Amino acid sequence: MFFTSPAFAFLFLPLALAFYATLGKSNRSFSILVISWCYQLLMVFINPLIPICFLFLILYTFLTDRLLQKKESRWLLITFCIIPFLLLILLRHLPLLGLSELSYPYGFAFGVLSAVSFLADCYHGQLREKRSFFDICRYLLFFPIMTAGPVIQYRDFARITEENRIRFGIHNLSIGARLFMLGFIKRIAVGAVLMETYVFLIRFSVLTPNLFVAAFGVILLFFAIYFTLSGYAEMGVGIARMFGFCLSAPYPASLSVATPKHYLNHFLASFGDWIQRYLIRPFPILAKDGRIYRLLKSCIYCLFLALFLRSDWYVIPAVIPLILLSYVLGKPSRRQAIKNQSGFRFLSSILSLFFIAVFWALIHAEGFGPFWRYIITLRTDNMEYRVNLLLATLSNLKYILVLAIALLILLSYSKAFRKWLGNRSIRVRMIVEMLLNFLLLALFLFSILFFLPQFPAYNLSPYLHLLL
Amino acid sequence: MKKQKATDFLTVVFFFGILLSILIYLSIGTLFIDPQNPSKELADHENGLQIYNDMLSHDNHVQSFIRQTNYKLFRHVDSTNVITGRNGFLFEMEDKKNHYNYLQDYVGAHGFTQEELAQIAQNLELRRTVYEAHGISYMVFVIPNSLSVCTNAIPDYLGEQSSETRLALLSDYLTQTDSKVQFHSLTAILRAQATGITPLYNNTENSINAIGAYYTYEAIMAQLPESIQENSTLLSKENINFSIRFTAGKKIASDIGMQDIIRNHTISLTDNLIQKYQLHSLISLYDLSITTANGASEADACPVLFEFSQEWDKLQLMPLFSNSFSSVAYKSGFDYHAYVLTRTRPSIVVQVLRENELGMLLDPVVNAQYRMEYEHIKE
Repeated sequence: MFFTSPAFAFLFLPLALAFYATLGKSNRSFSILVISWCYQLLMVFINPLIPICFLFLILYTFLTDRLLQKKESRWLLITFCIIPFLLLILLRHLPLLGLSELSYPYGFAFGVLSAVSFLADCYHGQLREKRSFFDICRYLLFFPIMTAGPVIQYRDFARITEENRIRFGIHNLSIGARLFMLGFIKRIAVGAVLMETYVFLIRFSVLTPNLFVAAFGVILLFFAIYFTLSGYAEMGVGIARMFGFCLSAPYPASLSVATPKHYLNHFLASFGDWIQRYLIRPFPILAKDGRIYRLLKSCIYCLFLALFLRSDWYVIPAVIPLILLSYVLGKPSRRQAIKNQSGFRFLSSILSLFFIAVFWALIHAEGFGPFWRYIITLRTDNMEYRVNLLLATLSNLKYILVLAIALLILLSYSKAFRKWLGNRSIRVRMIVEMLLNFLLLALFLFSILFFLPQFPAYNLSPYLHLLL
Repeated sequence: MKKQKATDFLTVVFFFGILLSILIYLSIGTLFIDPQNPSKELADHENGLQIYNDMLSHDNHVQSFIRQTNYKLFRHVDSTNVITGRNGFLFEMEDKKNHYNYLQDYVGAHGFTQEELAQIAQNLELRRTVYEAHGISYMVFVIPNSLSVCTNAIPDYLGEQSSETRLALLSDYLTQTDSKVQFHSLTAILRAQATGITPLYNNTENSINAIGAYYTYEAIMAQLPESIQENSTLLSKENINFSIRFTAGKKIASDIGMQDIIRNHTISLTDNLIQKYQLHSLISLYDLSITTANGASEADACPVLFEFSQEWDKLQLMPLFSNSFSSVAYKSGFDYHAYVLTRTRPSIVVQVLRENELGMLLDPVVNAQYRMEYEHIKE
């Protein structure tokens, strides 16, 4: 029942939209709640833990909020906000508890972020009138953002989902459909193929370690994760848009980031904002700009990201290079240089992307151990055979198509393209838009028929290696 | 504004058209899944939602579409054991049965060690000695891999074949050690003939076709002793009719389930050549058969006993040799059987094997048989 699974895309989504349209304009909020509950109930077939955990989270949030209303205490709030994260860590280590038959409930990490956001926003006195059980259910069960965000703070969600702001109509359906198709293509036709290639390369290079192959693999993994996460997020935004909810589109600037912090700010659309609002801002001391505070902030940002992705000890050493880089580039003079000097900005971007790519590879490899084993077994014998074997597997024009799709997608995001399109006449813009629409439809259909059936594993676990 | 609305409308119609078309297709598939014969993976699923989810992955039409697109559009097959060549050629990477890796051998990374080369030379010399003791000559011919011959079908990234392949190393070793064994690699001969548009090998199997068989036949006939050549007729290629057609893909295509998509460019002999001799199966235990022509009797001595490692090569070459000699004996496998020699009384034994089967020359069981016969002769 994840967005790319046939049961969701070809059964649930059309039926849900039909139900939503049938129920009428006055019941939009109620309809979306019913649909979200149905989504959760159907998740039983994928993983029974998912609806159980969300039900628990709703009740926990509701009762905690009531308690905090009666007894206002900052420390109580902090304690109650930590508990869902502890539960998240627990759920990620079920096999260690002897519950190997149960698997991690995907989407729960976003539920935890939302629950904390709800408790914090309500505690700080915002949106006092919007904190009923109905509101909690609607927020925590809002299925479009459960797979890969975007992370939405409760105060924004409450504003977006006001009845008079919901615009269900042909225009939003069209925009939503386009975003959904784009996300689907990014996830299935690009992300999944890149990940498959990466897995092959690693399997190949574990048997015959090779530095060049490893470096190429790390780059592949970076793009695979980028297209996977932004694909899911875009599908989520698209689905919400089809139902009339205008979430901000997660146009990912994460490829043109200059520092690790920039990357985090764009990660899952607004992950950095969440950290800033709920982990940094409540502690005014962190607003200072001294060395220690800068290092502390870098640690909070990077460690939280790493532990959010996988709650294992090995993520801590894996994130250290990223923390150091973030600290070094966070110095005010360097921040200024990044802003003003294009050469420094370019260098900083390359460094940041390299360290982020290595971080992803370490997360994927589950620590330094495999990396170390890999490096100590580097060999150069039998090189020609290994290169031929690699070429035989990669000599597939499919990769050319995937590359072309990826470039086209990135081009459509580029400022230069938008500027060029903006300067054209309405007629040209319409023609270009029409052509892009048909290309999108054709690629969507091709992705369904050609790419989707090759990756049935994503029907059950959307990321395979990340625990979001 | 109107144009924008029209674009929106068209996008929505096409988008939901795609979703609903697949919804209907999958729903029909899920509802009418054959309970008697469901796909194994689908039958393992516990609930309808998972069946629905995996229906697309297990649908025969979708699978066929994926395979066709992969091959016809992307020039690739979904197997790590197959290299896609040009002109519809498929090349295997590994022959697990013979513990042989085509690609490694192609780049010269799978050669015999000096000990193995010495052992093979010793084994071949033993065979030659045994046959010589019976007054019989002995020759070995090696049919090369398609990867060694069909250079115009090999993908560019592979580059030229290494000069240190198993076959090249063995040929060189036997030459350098002045071995008395007549060991002939057919690589150069077949490669010289493979420059035309007509292939000598089946494009979906590592085996020669009728044209390749003819050049193999011609090369073997040229190497036979003059005394035998005098009593034979060399068939001319111009007098042979070949049948050329496309058939279902052979072994490599079949192994990856693409026999219907990647067709085999099949070239075979026509019946008129086969009808000119009689086939007598003699001893099924040894898989021994004799062909006779021109009124010869099966009890007559056969000047040549051909031993083949592959039944396919025997079937391809049998019509050619059978029309060249009045009487010829054929045997499958290289096992030594004294009775076979007594029964056929050959002047020469010709063993024909493939490049990927050179490891067979180290087979301890077969070599033990020759060793026993050698000890027996010495006594």
